[in-house]
Amino acid sequence: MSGNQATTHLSIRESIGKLTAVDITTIAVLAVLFRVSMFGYRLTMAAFPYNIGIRFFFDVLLACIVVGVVRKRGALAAYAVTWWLINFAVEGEDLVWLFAFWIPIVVAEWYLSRTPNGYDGVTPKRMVIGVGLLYGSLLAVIYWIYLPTYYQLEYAPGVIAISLGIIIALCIAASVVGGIFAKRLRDVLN
Amino acid sequence: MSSVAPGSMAVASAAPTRVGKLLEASRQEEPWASRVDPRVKLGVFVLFTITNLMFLDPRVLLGLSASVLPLWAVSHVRLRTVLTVVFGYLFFLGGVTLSQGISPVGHLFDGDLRVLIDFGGGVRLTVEGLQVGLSRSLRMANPLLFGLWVGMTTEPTMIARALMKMKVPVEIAFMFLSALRLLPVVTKRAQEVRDAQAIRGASRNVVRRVRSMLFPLFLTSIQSARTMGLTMECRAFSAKAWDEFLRDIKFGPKDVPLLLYGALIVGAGLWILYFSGWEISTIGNAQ
Repeated sequence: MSGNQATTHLSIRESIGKLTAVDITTIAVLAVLFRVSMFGYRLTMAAFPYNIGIRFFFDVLLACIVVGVVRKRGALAAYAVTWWLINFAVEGEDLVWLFAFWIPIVVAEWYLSRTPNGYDGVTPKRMVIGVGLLYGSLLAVIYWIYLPTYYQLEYAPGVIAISLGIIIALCIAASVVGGIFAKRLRDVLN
Repeated sequence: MSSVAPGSMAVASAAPTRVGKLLEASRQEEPWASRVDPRVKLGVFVLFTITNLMFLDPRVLLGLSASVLPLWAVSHVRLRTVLTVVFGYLFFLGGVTLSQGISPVGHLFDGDLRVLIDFGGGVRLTVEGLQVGLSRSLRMANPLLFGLWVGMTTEPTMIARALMKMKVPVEIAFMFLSALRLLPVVTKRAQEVRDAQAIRGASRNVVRRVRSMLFPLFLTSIQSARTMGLTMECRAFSAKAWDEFLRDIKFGPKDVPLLLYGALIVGAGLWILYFSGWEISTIGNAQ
């Protein structure tokens, strides 16, 4: 699974096309594992800030495990597509979410692939910044824009600032935990 | 296109044709819901979800929930499965309604809220909160109800076939198919890991038990997925020649009832919104 050729010129669609069937099934099973474990949490979801922070913690955690195990450009986008398809099939997840999802993915994929050896050069620091900070925080910001209009909520300004700060901290923590877990999995699988 | 010897092509095309005909004959005895074109199901699902999102009034949303019941009734799903779905649906509805019932909703309504239970510290269960909670939970639960019907009456392979016929890239269709196929596999693996932990005398502490389950569960699930992936690679998946399905999907008269259902849902939704003159709650405007 070497990525010695420059992959930064590839579009996300082309990158997903370069994933093998082994990569795709690995991503699919990780998305399923996440879906099954999140079901209990979703049953009692309420529109409180800390709940959303916990959701993003798991979002980023699994994204890091996917990126850490598959280690190819397009893995994050493929995971996001699978995750959204499962959600749509099982829960009818909002169509709006589909479009909002792509902004953080494109930004995170662009940052992760900007290494000398393409995707294979992802260091733990780049994982924390790319997936934890960029992907997680952009996801949280978009959710905070989407959530008030969907649920007709109005939060006090201080609540939003503190919540976003907690969410970003949780996303960075999740990327560290996810990266360590992915390395353990990779060591055993290979 | 992969290169195949002509002789083997003749045999390969004959066998699937005979098998395909047998399958086609057996399919005629399947319930109507299983024979409907998956593309029609997915399209009506999208229309249903969009119509659902257009409303906040719990009465209209409950009406949408009730409109899915006839689909379940004609699907020949086992009673035990239906009861499980009903129980899950009501549990989800009740849980989200109650949890939303105590959330702050004063900014959505004019005047004072009608308090049912005051827990102290500013946390109160109000009538308006329950109304908002019911609306939000129904908006989430209705697509769940329809989506489950689609999932229970359609083979995952046929959904993937439908996606490919709709020009969805084969990688994405395969991802979706893999995920659906792996759902029961992962559940079974979790049970096996739990049993193995119990035999080894796992800790009774829930947190420790979950932590000790996670790594083996991830490992065995990924190993199963890789085996499945290698099998697909051996069938030239990366050559983009994967287009082999034992039976095809075709649009026909059997799909018309579901299309009419979708048109009815959308038409009724638009009529209620713009032509009926009914007072539809928007949960936030002055009452």
